[in-house]
Amino acid sequence: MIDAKHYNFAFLDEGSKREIRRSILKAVAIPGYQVPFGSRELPIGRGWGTGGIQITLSIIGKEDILKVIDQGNDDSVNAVNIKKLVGECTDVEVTTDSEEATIIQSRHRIPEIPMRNDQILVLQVPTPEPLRIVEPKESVTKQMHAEAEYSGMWLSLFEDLTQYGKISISSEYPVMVEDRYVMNPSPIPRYDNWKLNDSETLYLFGAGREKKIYAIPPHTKVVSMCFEDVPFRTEDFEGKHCRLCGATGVYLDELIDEATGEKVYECNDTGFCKKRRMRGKNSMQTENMQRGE
Amino acid sequence: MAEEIRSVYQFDFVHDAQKVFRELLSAMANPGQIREIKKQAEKFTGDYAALLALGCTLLDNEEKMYVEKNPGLSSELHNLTLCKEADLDQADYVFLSSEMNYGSMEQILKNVRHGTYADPQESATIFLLCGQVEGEETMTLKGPGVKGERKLPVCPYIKKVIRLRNNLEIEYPLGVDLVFADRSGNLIGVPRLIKLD
Repeated sequence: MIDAKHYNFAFLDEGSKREIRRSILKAVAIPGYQVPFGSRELPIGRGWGTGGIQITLSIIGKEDILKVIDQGNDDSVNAVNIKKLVGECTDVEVTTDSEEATIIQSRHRIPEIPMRNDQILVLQVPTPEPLRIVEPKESVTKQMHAEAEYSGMWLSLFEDLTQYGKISISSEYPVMVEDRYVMNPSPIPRYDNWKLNDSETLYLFGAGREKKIYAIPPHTKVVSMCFEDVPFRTEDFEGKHCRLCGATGVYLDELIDEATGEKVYECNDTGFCKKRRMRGKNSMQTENMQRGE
Repeated sequence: MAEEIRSVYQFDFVHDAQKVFRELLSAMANPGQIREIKKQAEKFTGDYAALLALGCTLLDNEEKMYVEKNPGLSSELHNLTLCKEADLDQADYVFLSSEMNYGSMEQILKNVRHGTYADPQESATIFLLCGQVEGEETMTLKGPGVKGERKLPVCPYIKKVIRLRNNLEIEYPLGVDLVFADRSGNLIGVPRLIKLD
C-alpha cells in the first residue's frame, strides 16, 4: 500500500467521496437518470475509466474484494492498471473470480456468471448520453430527458432499420428504464442488455469525462428499445463454442487460427473461461485419482 | 508535556463513513431490506446517534440541512460537518428526530424540495428517526429494487409516512426519498418510486 501519510484511503479526499456518494444515492433513487457530479482529477487520463474508478474509490472499503475487467479480460492494460491503483491505495484483495468479488469494475462486459445481490457492478462509461447521436447540445438533451421527448431516438432507430434492414447498433444499445428514461448502458454488447433487466445486482455507471453518474438498482425494469414488429435481437453464437473450455451460450470472441487460417472462438469473459478450465482439470484429476492413476 | 487531544466521538470519518454509506446504499437499492449501522452509530452518544452517523457520512459545507425542532442535534451536526442550516424548502437533507403528527408530516412532505423535471436530483432526502423500525404492522412495498413485492413488519409510523408521501402523488421523476432509522441503528430506505400496496 502507498504511504498513508501522503494519500487518503482510496486516494480521493473525503469531500470528493461524499459528493460522489450523494450523487450515487440520487442515481439509485432515479434509475436511468444521469446525475451530474464534479468529476475529479486522477492519475489516469479521462476516457480511461475515471468515472468507474471514482465510483469504485468512493464505495470501496477495507473488507471488499475487487475484480476489474476490460473487454471481458482480467489481464488487459486498463484492467491491470486500475487494479494496481485501487489496490495500492486501499490494500484490498483483488481477484479474477467474479463470484468471489464484492465489487466488479468493468468496461464493456457484464460477467457471464450471474451476479448476486451482495455484489456491485461498476461500469465505466465513455458516452453516457444516449441522445447525443440525435442532438449535440447538452442543454437540449437535458430538456429532452426532462420532457421524456424521445421521438428523435425512435426516429434514429427507424432510420437505421430502413437503411440496413435491421437495427445495426452493436454496443451501447439504448434501453428504456422504468418506462421513463432512455439510458445508454455503456459499451456493453447487445448480448448483455438482458442482464440489466430485473437483475439481482446493483449497477453503477460512471462517466468521468462527461461528469455523470447513473444507476440501475436490482429488480428494475430495463427494456431494450425496439419496435413491435422488429424485436430486439442479440448477437447469435448458435453452433459455436469456446475452443479452450468448450462453453456454448456465452459471448464469444472470433479469432483466426494462425496455423490453419480458420475462424475459431474463445470466451470473451476470461475469468469465466479460466474457472471452467480449472474445474475441468480438477474433475479430471479426481477421476484419475479414483482410477488410481 | 503535551496532552493528547482526543475527540468526544470515536467515529472514523474515513472507514466508518464508508461502512455507513454502503449500508445506506444497500438500503436505497433494496427498499424494505433492513440494514444495520449499529457499530458505527455507537461511536456517538445520545439518542440521535444513528442520525449523527448518517449526517457525518453525507453532509459537509456544500450541503444544506433542516433539523425539525431540535437545536441540539442541529448544532451537533453543524459542528461535526460544517453543514449549513436552511429553511425546509431549501434543504438538501431533512432530519426529523421525533415522530411527527399527521398534519406536520404532510406539511413537511409538501414543502421540501421535490426537484425539477430537468434536475430531479435537486430534491430532499428525509431522515426520520423512529422508536423501532420493526413493528406490528405489515407493510407491502413495490417498485424498483423489490422483486415482485416485499412484505415486512414495521412500526405504524413508517407506513403512515410512506402512505402520506404516496397520497401527495408527486409526478416522477420529482419526489422525496425517505430513510427511516431507529435507535438500534436499523435502516430502511424508501426511494421516490416505491409504492405502498
